[in-house]
Amino acid sequence: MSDKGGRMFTLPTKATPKSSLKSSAGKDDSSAKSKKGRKVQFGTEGSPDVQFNFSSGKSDGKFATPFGKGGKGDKVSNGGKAHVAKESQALELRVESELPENVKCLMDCEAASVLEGIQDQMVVLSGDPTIKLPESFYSGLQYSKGGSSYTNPQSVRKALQSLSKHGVSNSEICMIANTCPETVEEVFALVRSLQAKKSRLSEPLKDALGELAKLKTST
Amino acid sequence: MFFEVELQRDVKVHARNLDKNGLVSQRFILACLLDELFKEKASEDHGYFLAVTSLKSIGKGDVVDESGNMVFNVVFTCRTFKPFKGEVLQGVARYIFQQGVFLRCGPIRNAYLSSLKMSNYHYVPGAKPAFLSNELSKIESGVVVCFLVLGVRWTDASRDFEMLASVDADSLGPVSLPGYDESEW
Repeated sequence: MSDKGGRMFTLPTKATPKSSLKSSAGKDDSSAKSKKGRKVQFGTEGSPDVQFNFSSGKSDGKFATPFGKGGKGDKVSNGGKAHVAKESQALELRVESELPENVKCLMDCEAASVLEGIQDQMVVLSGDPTIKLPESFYSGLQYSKGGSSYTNPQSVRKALQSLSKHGVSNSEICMIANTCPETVEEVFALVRSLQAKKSRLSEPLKDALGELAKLKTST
Repeated sequence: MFFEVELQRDVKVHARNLDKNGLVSQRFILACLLDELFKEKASEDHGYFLAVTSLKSIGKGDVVDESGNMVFNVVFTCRTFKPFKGEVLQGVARYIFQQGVFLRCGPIRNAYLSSLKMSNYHYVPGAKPAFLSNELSKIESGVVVCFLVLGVRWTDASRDFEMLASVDADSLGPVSLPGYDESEW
């Protein structure tokens, strides 16, 4: 591990290995996938690549991370503001550019409504031992229900859909719904990719959040 | 983030599963498909497979080889969950260490939140270790934490995603979700 500087988290770039199952979403997945390595840098510059590595459950309390040993972190940075700006650009949501075709983003509440419908059918489905649900089904269902605090997913979609004509992408709309923001400032803090359009989005966002507030379940 | 994905798979059916008319039921093909998705669990491109939501088409069976296997091309839509860099997610703190916190987020079992990405928090050791902020908000085992995804890694061996998390921004950190039992995650 480096003592100072250079904390890189490099994402793997190798292609998906072939399996006996062909997966295709209307287009060859490997061709749709970007082959470029992606790096998130939150330390000082001039660092060698350090592979992000941790082991869960069996360690002695020591975890190999690219962050050094409890240093001051990215506060001790020679890059200063330029570095922070570069980091915030790298952390912007770019779901649409990374997704294959035939894939649609959903809000947590939309996912919850369908998954709950399947859960309701479980009484019938569980009678047949050949029917197996993916093991991620239950954890995915709990996650979607936990974060979702709206009464009606269709109304939430309708309330936020007006933002799309102001240049807000579908994935950004889903993020806004999932984070349940109360103020416009909260939206810009959580969905950083919207900050560039702050001036023209403030008013439409305010209206959309007002509509969303009426659709939240009482706590 | 959740997605609705259109996928196609080649489902193998052995000839012994054909009935006396040489036909195989749609239910049987669907059961085979679900079994294969259960084993596959997740893919790097689409994320964790949660549920098949609709069946679009089942192709004609093609005989593959002399072993008696037939292959049916099935097109279906599936609900999936895949994390993205830059996304804000919620996870439950599972293990607290001096260097950071391991979170569990939906189907993702390992999201690592380093102490370096919790700059307002300091580690409090003890029987129930925790991270405490200057504003006295606490991250301990079982607490739901709203975090920003700094990075995502796909592991082929375990067919899992792992995430790097941060709470170093406004509106991130521990949250309380009313009426929700975190232990179910």
